This record gives sequence, structure tokens and C-alpha cells, in this order.
Amino acid sequence: MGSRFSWAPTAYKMLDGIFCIFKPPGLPVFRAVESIQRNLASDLNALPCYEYEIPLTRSQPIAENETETSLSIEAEPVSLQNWSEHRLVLGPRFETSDFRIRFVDGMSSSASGILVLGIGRHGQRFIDLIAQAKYLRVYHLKGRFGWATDNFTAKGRVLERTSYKHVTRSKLEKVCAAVQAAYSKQMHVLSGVDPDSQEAYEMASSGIIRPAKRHTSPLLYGVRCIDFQLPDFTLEVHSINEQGPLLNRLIHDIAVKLKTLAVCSGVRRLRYGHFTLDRALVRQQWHLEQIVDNIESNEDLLTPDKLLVGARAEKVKLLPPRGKGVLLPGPGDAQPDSCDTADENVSNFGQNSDR
Amino acid sequence: MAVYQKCFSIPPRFLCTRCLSHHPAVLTQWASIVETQKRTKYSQRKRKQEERKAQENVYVGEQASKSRIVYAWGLAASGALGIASYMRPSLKFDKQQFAINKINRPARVRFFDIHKLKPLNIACGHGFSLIHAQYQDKKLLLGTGVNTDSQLGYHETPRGSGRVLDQLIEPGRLRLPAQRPDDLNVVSMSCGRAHSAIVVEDEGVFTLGNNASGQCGRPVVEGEDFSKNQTVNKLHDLPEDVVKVVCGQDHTLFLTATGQLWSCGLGADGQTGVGHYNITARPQLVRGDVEGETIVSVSAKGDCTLAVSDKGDLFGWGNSEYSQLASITSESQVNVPRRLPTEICGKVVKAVAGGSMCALLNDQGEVFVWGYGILGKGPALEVTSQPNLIPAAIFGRSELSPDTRVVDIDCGLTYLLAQTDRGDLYSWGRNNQGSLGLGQDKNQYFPWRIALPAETAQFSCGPDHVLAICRSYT
Repeated sequence: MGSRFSWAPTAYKMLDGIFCIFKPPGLPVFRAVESIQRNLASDLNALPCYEYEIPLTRSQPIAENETETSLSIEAEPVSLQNWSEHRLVLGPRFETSDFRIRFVDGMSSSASGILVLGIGRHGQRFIDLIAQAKYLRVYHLKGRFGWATDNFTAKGRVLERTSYKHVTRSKLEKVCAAVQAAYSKQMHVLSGVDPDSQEAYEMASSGIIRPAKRHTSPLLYGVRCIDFQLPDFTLEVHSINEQGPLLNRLIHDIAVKLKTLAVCSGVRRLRYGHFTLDRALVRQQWHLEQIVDNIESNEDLLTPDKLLVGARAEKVKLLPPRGKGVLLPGPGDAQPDSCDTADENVSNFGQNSDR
Repeated sequence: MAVYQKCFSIPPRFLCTRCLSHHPAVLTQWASIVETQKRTKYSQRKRKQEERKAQENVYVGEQASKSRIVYAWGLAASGALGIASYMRPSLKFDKQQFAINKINRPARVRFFDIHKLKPLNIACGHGFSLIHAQYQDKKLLLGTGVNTDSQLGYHETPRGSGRVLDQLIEPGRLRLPAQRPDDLNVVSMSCGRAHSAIVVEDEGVFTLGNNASGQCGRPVVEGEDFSKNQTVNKLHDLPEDVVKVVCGQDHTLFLTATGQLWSCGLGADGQTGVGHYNITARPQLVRGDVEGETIVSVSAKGDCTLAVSDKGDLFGWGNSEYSQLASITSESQVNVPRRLPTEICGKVVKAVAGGSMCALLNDQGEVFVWGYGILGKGPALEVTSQPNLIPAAIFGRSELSPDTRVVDIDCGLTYLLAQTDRGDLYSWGRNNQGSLGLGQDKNQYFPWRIALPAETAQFSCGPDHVLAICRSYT
């Protein structure tokens, strides 16, 4: 297989940024990271790595059956070659530990879906910014009515079995709406804004309100039933700062309100902020070339207007109005007039950024 | 062992097998040390598990249907919530000594569950409430709260004793002089400051309570004592097709099926809309700009009145001290209905007028507010004469649920409530006696969802309490 890279260190330098993968179910996140590291190391080692490397060919085969009669004092060694630059002497140039990979907001091994990873020096930096941006995540939760287990998933120990024939789609949708509305209050509380202030009203009228801190209790922004075929159903959940057990438990809680029981039979993350499924690399694509391509294609997501949205940048008036194409202004650029216009565009940031 | 204990009168000292020390808790039950815990075999556990799997529990009843639940919040001291244990704590807890005067979160009114009553309609007034409920095949009218002006009827207990209740802390039956008193098909009912009005199908309009300004639609009697008054007035001056009655503070409005509007009562601010500022003792047809229009909705809580025609036009009259009608007049009172400009609002479906603020609902499910007070657009907007849109995002509309719309609005004197098509209830305004139902005593400056564990079907606002009929999810 011919690679488009001809020199491994050049390719290694290009591994510097953000890429996203589709983690299959059943594979722990750290195993996925190890797998990527192994793939990258082997791909890079297959390329030319050393400047004066001796190609692994036997140009002059050593004659083993030569008779002693040909030996003389004047005779020179048949093959006297410096093997110190040979690949088998030098060893592989890249090891798995050469690739520093960090991920943001991992998921349980049974879950599947999009996972954002940062590699290299810039990758580490941007992963922090992405974490602070508190992107909205979209999940599809599969549930099945009829029984309850000790860990709310389908694989747990069965505790109880119930009837479920009375559940209809409209009843499920109503409970979903109630769950969603109940979390809207939490949304205001965690935003860290005085509810009696005008700012709180502005935030409420912009729709989605992000929590002020990175680690808060989970927030659900949307819960919707997208598929219903008894006993199975699928919910679409939009959330921030959620955790795997919470999503499993959500299925259980909704079922209890419907006077039955249910387990969560699958969790899939469809979106992580701007990172959508069409950007994600499936497991067969976790190789050097695809990752380098992915890093390049994700560079348009690393602009300040997309990264600083959840970090309350609009509040501290760092950002100019959207669409002017201006990067972060310097400390002397802030003017009272421009501040007002930036303040008016708060709602735009909140709404457009999570498409 | 017993001998040992008798001799030394102390328990024998054994080492605890778990912590290898002496402690009395274990020593007193020394038998538990000796017996090791029984271990269950895998096969036993497996069999239990299979048994558990085989048994199917049914949580939902055989004939389960959505039950109606009544929730109430606000001022409880008047008894208008219908929860007797708040006023008389000993009914519920022997040791509780203090009455609960107000409740700032939705509280379930168990009276209807206990007596197997199905609530059909509710109306809240100043410290009292009317509930239309069904019991088996009977349809009854119940009242609870203050009864100082006999607005809830004549309640003499025991009968013939002369002890007439001027406050009901639990719903009591209101008996109307109707042809079929056990089958009251109430079309509409409303409560004012101290009077109530009920429209019964095939029977007519009944009013009872205070008539000091002619709000009951009968001539004013000087020095009439309204307490312990058995009078229930049946109105004869009205057309027969009255479909809706609305009580302001001291005036009453009647809406007919043809869209005509009649009014009686106090006209000191022109709220009766009959062209003068005097008392109107007999219902009169409201003229002015509403003449010839088909009115479909009318609302009054204080002394300003708003009406909406089937074309979506808005009309207003009465008090304008708080810029309620400032878009058409600079005076503080209007005694004739005037058409209000609502070009920016689209087709108006419903409009409500509180004490100082007004709100309207258009056919897009959007809410507009104007007037004075906490209007719902943050603390910055205090007074405005033009309708201002409250963003639909506050009522839960977002890209995730773009169809969410407000379907009903109502107001007290100082606060507003809105109901969405999902059955959520939002409230905002001045938190008078916890009537916002948000679980706190602070004022709320923009709409905030009330935490109700069921979907709202119908609600009614009084000046300091709210009643809501909800449906359970399953």
C-alpha cells in the first residue's frame, strides 16, 4: 500500500490537533486510544524513518561453502558493511508513548458514538478549550419496557418484571416533555446568574443556557421520543455534563412514571457540539492518513467564536458580533459602543453555535 | 452458661470473630458469633432469579384512566384552597399546633380524591373558590373560602341553630334554586371580590353575594346586610343564550352566544363600559366600538376590562391609570369600549386584564404584555403602553421543540399565568402570598415553570391563590 507520505518525521509533525472517532460499543475508551497509538506507530514506522538507513536487502550474499584453499593472508573480507544504521539495529523509530492523546467527555464501554480526541501539543491545548466550551451533546437512548435490573442496563441482574401493554406513544411523549421541562429550572440555577436580574431574562429568552462551571450536575435540554415499537423505544436526549449512569437511569425513571419498568439497552452519542457523525472516523479508519485528514478538516471548528461560546466569553465581551470575521481583540480594542452590540448578539451565539 | 451469668452477673467475654475485640453489642447476642452466616449456593440464587423473572407485576390498574387531580397554591388562611388541614392542623397531625397560612408550591387538594369527586370547572375569587364537580351521576356546585357576603351561599350548621358559617375551610355544597339541583350543567362561572355568578344550561344566570354596587344584577338596597343572606338572584333582564360570565372586582360581564356583551355593577372607572361612571344595577348592553362585533372572549380581574372579537380585534375600557389603555387615550378612565391597536400582535385570541398589567395571546401561541408592574420581560421593563412580545423560548420553544405554543393565559391582580400545549404552567409577576407557586416567596421577573407532577388541563387565578385541574400522565 503506497502512502502519500515519504518521510515519517514530517507525517509525525502533522499529527497535531483535534480529531474525532466513532467509538464502537464494547470497547473501552482507553483501549480505543491505545489502538490508535499502536496504529499510528506502525503506520509511521512503515515509512522511511532514518536518514542513512540501510535497506533490508542482501546485496552480496555471504558465501558459506568457500573452501579453505581460497583463504590467504592477503584476502580481504568478502562483505564488510556497517550495520549500525540498519532498521533491525536501530529499532522502530516511533513507539506508542510518542503519541500523547487526550479525550474529552468519555463514555462507558458499552456506549458507542462520537468521541473527540486531541493529539500533539496543540491538541492538548484545544481539548481544554473544548471541555470549557461545554458543548451540547445529542444521544440516542434505546430502552425496553418490561423489567428492571440492578444497574438499569439490559445486562444487569433482573430484579423485577412488569406489564407494559398500557404504554402508548402519546403517554411516553408527555412524560418526556415533563422531564425536559423539569430540567429547565435546573438550567437557570446552574447558570450562576441572579434570577432577578435583566441578564437572567436575556439568557432565558435566548433559549439554551449553559451551566457556569465545567463540572455541574447533569442538564437535559431536550428529551424526545423518536421511535416507539413496544416493548422497544428510542429517546433522543440533548444534554450537557451528563454521565452514563444518568442516561441509563433516565430510562428507568421515565418508565416508573408510566407505571411500568424499563432498562436501557443502548446508548449512542450522535453529536458533540459541532462534531457530527460525518466527521467521525470509524474503527477501520483509525490510521495515519485518515487521522491527518481529519485533523485538517476539523481546523474550521477551532475558531474563537465556536470555542469560547460556553466559556462565558460573551459575558466578558471578548467576542465581536458574529460574521465580521474578527479574531480576539487586543486589550486596547474594547470600546463601549462595540460592547453594546456584542451584548445584543448574546442570543445569536447561544443558538447558532450548537448546530 | 446461665450459671456463669448468675454467678458473676456479667456477660461472658468472648472475642468477636469479626474484629477480634470485646464489645457489648456482640456479647449480648453471643449466639450470633458462633453461628456462621449461611451461604447460598449458586443454584439457589439462580432459582430465585428465575422465579423473579417468571413473576410479572402489574402496576397499572385494570380500568386505569387518566385521573383528574386538583392542585392549589397561594393564600390558605382564607380557606379558598379547600385543604382543611391547613386551617385546622389537628385534622391531620395531633401534635401540629400551627395553621399554615400560605403555601408557595402546588399542594394536592385531597378532598376530591377522598370524596370521589371529578372536578369539571373551577373559578377563583378574592379569598374564595367555586368548583363544579361530578359525583357519580350528579353534577354539583361546591364552594370554599370566605363567605362573609354569602357569596358561597347560606351554610347553617347545624340546621336551625342560627350558626351560619362565614368561612368554609373545605368545599361545601352551594345549592342553587334550579329546576334540577342535582344536575347542574354549569356553562361558566366566575368570582369577583365578594360576589359570584354562575351560568347554568337551560336554567339561566344566578348571582349571589355582595350587591352594594349592583354587581349581582339586582337593584341596590340601602343598608342591606349581605352576611347570612339567603338571597340567590336569578337574572331575568338578560338574553337566554348567555354562554360566559366574567366577574371583575365589583362588576360583572355577560357574553351571549351571538357575541353581545352585557354588564352591570360598579362603574366608578368606567369598567362597565355603558357610557357613564355610575352604578349599573340591571345588566345593560355594552355599546361603543364593540357594537356590531362578535365578541368571543372577555376578561376583567380588577377595574380594567378587555374583550376580543372573532376577527382578532382587541377592545378595552375602564381604568387606565397604569397605561393599560394609554395607546388610545391619555385619560385615566374610559367608560366606553374602544378599539386598541394590535397590528404587531397578529390575530388576538384572548386578552386578560389584571390590576395593573394586561396580556394577550395570539393565534400563533405568543404572549404580549403591557401595563405596569412585573410584566415578564425582566426588571428593566416596568411600564409600557404598547404590547411587548415575551419570547417564545421562555415558554419552552426551541429548535428541539419548535411547535410549543401557549394555549391559555390568565392573571391575578399582580401576576400572570400561561399554559402551554404540553400542559406546562408558567407563572411570573409579584408573588402575592406565594400565588406564583414556584416554591419561593420572591418575585419572578420572567415566566418560570411551575413544578407540577401532572399536565394541566385547566386553571383559574384569584388575586392571591390559584387552583388548577391537572391530569395524570397514565
